[in-house]
Amino acid sequence: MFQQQVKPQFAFEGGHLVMYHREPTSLPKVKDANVNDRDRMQDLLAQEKYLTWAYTTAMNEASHEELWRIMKENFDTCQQLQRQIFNGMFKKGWYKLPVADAQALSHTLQQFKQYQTQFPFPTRLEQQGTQQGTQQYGTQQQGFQQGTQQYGTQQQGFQVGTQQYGTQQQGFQIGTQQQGFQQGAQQYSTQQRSPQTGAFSTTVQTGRGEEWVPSGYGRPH
Amino acid sequence: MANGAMHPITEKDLSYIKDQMSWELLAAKKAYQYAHQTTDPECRTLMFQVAEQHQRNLERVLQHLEQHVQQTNQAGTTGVGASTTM
Repeated sequence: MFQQQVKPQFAFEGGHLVMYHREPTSLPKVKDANVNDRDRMQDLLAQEKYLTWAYTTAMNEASHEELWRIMKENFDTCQQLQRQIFNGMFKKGWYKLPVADAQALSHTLQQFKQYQTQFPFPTRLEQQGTQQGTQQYGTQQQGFQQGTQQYGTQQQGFQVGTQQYGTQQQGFQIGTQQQGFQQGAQQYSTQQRSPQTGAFSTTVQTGRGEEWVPSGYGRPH
Repeated sequence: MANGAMHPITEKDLSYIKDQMSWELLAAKKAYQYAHQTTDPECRTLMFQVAEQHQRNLERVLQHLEQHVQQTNQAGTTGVGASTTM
């Protein structure tokens, strides 16, 4: 019943884009001190949240194997119920959720993509849709170089080139932010693995050419 | 419990078992009562579901405890190692 996701609607409220679902509810127009449906659901939701937390704690402390399995089972059902109650409340329109700012999203994406140089293993992230010039939401297509995914191949990580950035900018909707974004991206490092030694090293692309920075296991100095 | 060996339930385990059964009982009763109070059919169905699921959870723990007690008693009467020592 409540399991399936409903299609959310969007509205601007107090300068924020909010996501919600509108549906005629059984709530009284003028609410009094009596507990209403929303209160009941809220209470059940809080209860499930508490139970999942409590089971987690108990499982961490458990020594008895069979007991641990039982707790895990109960934990799973509580978590499932929590989800169902949340979906139910959302469907009833009792949850309005502010949508994250697109600029903040892409900022976070960029920030953590820069941390790729610190990944201990070659990345398996794939470039999404840059070449196709897709119509998708701009944040998805920021400069991951499509390429090899397997271990031991020459280039892992992502490569930044001006050509990709041309494509990317078209797909990106944020306006003034593109500039800073692009400049930041030019300082990305590329992690490479030497075919001879198998060791990782990091190339820092400064825009002035490449310099090699040997860096142990791919960790920049 | 697997392969016949009795794993003892520690004091800590037992206190968690007690807690869990109390939580689950409360959760089941509360959701059941809410289901009777609400006028919304969708909410009611969900609340009954929640109530039943919590009762099942309680039963699961209770059943385990019962098995454990039975086995401990058997082991006690036949003298095959009591489970009181850690």
